Amino acid sequence: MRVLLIEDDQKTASYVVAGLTEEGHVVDHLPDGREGLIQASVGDYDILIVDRMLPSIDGLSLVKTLRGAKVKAPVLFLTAMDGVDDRVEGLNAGGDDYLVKPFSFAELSARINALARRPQLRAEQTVLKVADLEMDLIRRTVTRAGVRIDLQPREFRLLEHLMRTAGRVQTRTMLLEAVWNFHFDPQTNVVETHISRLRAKVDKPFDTDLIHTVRGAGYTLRAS
Amino acid sequence: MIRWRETIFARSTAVRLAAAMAILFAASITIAFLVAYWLVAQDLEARTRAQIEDDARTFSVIYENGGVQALTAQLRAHALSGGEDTLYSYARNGAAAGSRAGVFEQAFTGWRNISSDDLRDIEEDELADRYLAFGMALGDGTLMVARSTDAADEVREIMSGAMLWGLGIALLLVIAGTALFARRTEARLGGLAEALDAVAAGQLDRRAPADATSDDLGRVAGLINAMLDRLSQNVASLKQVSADIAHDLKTPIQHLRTTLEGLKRENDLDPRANAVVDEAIEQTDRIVQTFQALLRIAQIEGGSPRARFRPTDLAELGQAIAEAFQPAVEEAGHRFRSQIDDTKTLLVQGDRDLLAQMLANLLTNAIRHTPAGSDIALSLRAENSSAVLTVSDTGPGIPVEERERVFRRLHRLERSRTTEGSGLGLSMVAAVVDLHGGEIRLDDNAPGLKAVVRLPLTPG
Repeated sequence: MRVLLIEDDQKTASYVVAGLTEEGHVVDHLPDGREGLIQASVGDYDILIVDRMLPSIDGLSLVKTLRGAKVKAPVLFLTAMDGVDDRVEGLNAGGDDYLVKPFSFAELSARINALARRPQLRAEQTVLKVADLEMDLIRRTVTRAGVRIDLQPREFRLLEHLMRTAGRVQTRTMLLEAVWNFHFDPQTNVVETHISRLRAKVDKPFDTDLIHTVRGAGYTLRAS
Repeated sequence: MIRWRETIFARSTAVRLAAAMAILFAASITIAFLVAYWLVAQDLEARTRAQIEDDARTFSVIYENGGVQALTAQLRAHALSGGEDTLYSYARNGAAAGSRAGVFEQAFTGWRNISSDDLRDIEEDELADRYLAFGMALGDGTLMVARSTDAADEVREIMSGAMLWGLGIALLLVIAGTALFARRTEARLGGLAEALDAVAAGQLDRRAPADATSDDLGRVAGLINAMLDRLSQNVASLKQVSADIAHDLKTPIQHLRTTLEGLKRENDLDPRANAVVDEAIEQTDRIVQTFQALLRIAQIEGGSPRARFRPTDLAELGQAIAEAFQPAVEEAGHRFRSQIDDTKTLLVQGDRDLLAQMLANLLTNAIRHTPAGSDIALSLRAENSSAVLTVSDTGPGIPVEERERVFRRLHRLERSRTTEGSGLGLSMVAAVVDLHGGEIRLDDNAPGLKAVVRLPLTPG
C-alpha cells in the first residue's frame, strides 16, 4: 500500500515509517501541514495518516480541505488529544479512524489494514465462510463442519466481525468499538472473556483453531 | 386543577410584582374614596341636624312664650309653607297637630332615622323616602321635627357611582399598564434565562440579547455577558492548556513507548528482560490512562459535552453493558444478575459514550473491590420522572464516613491501595452524573455497596 504520513514529530514519524516499511508498505513522510496537503492531493495514496497538531495547517483543516477537493483516500488521525469531543470532531472533519497517542505500533498497523480494505467489504453478502465455519446472516445461524453452533446475540456479532475481517488483526480497542460501540477503555477484560467464550464454542469441539491471539496486538480469525 | 407553582404568578417575578402593584393601587384608591365619602356623608348629616335643632329651638321658644295655641298655629303656618321635605308635629294626648304632608305614627324623643313607612301619609305621594327625625318633650306633649335626607342620599349615591366607575377605570389602566410592563420585563428576563440555559447546555458562545437601556436589567445583562466572556475565555484557555499538556507530555511518553517497543523488536531479548520491558510499557500506558482520565473529568465538568446530548435509551445501553460485562464478572468468580427490561425504552437526554463509561466504571469497581463469590447486580427502573440505575454488590462495602470522599479525584480507600485502579473511576462517574443533571448515592446493600444513580427522563 502507498501510505502518506503527515506528522511533525520526527521520532514518532521515523518509527512509524520504519515499521510500515518493514510490513511491506511504501511510505512517504512530510512534517508540515501545507506540504502534506499538497502531496496528499497530487499523490495517489491508499491511506493517509495525519497528525492533528501540525505546523502551518492543522490536521482537521487539512482533512476538511482534502475532502472538499474530493480526495477519498481513508484518513487515520493521530492525536495527543483524547477529549470527549475530539474524536467526534475528527470524524466530522472527514477522518475515518482516530488513534490516540501514545499508541502501539501493532494498533496502528491493525487499524491501517482495516481502513485500507474497507471499500472491498461486501455488505450484501448473506453467508460468510472461513474454512469450515459458516455464518448465515439472514437465518442467524452458525455451523462448523456441518455442526450447528448456538451463540448469544453479542457472540454472534463478535464472530461476524471477526469473519468479515478474517485474516486481519483486530485489536482489543477495535473490537470494543466495532462490536460493542464502546469508545473508552472499560478497564476490565470484557473482550478477552467474550473471546474465550466464543472459542469454547467455535474452536474447542473441533480439531483446528480458527481464532488466534496475536501477541501484543489482538485477535484474528483465519484458517490456519 | 391548576397548581400555584405552574401559574404565571409563581414563575415570573415581573408578573408577581405587577399584580402586587395593581392590588396595592386599587386598595389605596378605594381607601381614598371611602374617606372622602365618609367625610361628605358626615358633613351632610351634620348640616341636617343643625337645621333640625334650629327648628326645634324656634318652636320651643314659641311654646314658652305663647303656649300650645301659639305653637300649633305656628306649626300650621309652617306646614302650609313647607313641602314634603320638612315635617313637624306636636302630639298631646293622642291629638296631633302636624305638618301638611304627614304625621308620625309614633312620637319619640331623641334622634332617629325613619323612612316613609313610619309616617302616616296625609296627601298621597308627597312623602320623601327617608328622614332624620328628632323628638323632644315640650310641656305635656312631644314636639317632632324631621327633615328629608333624600338629597344627602342622592349625593352619596352619586359619589359611590363615581367612585365605582373611577375605581374600575383606574384598575383597568393599572392592569393594562402593569401587564405591559410585566411583559416587557418578562421578555428581557426571558432573553437572559434563554442565553444562560444555552450556555449551561454547553453553547459557550451564546450571549444575552444586547440591551440598549441602561437600567438595572440592562446592567445585569451587560454583567452577565461580561461574565460569559470571561467564562468562555477560561474554558478556551483550559482547553488550550489541556491540549498543551496532552501534547507536551504525550510526545515524550510516545517516544518512551516507541523506544521500548523498538527494544523488543530489534533485539532478541531473553524472556526475563522481555517481561521487564512489557511491564515498563504497561506502566507508561497506566500513566497515560491516569492523566487522560483527569483531562476527561475536567472536560466533563466544564459541561461542553452537553452540546452533543441526544435522546439515549438507557434500557438498551444498560442491556449492552450487562451483556458486555457478564463474562468478565463471572470470570472474576462473581455471580452476575441483571434486571433490565429492554422492551421498554427509557430515554434520557445524554451522551451515550459517557453514560456507558459511567456504568462500566461502576461495574469495574464492583468487580475489583469484592472478593470472589460475591453477587453483583445491575438494575434499571423508572421512578416518577427519573431513571434509576443501581449497581450493587455483596462485598465489604464502604464505611459511611468514607462514602462522600470516594468521589474525590485519586482518592482510594486504605484497603484498596494494593488493588488495581487509578482512583478516578468514581470521580468520572460523579462528573458524568452531574453533567446529566442527575444524582448518585452510595448506600449500604447490607452487606455490600449499592450505587444508586438517578437521571432525569426526557419528558414525553
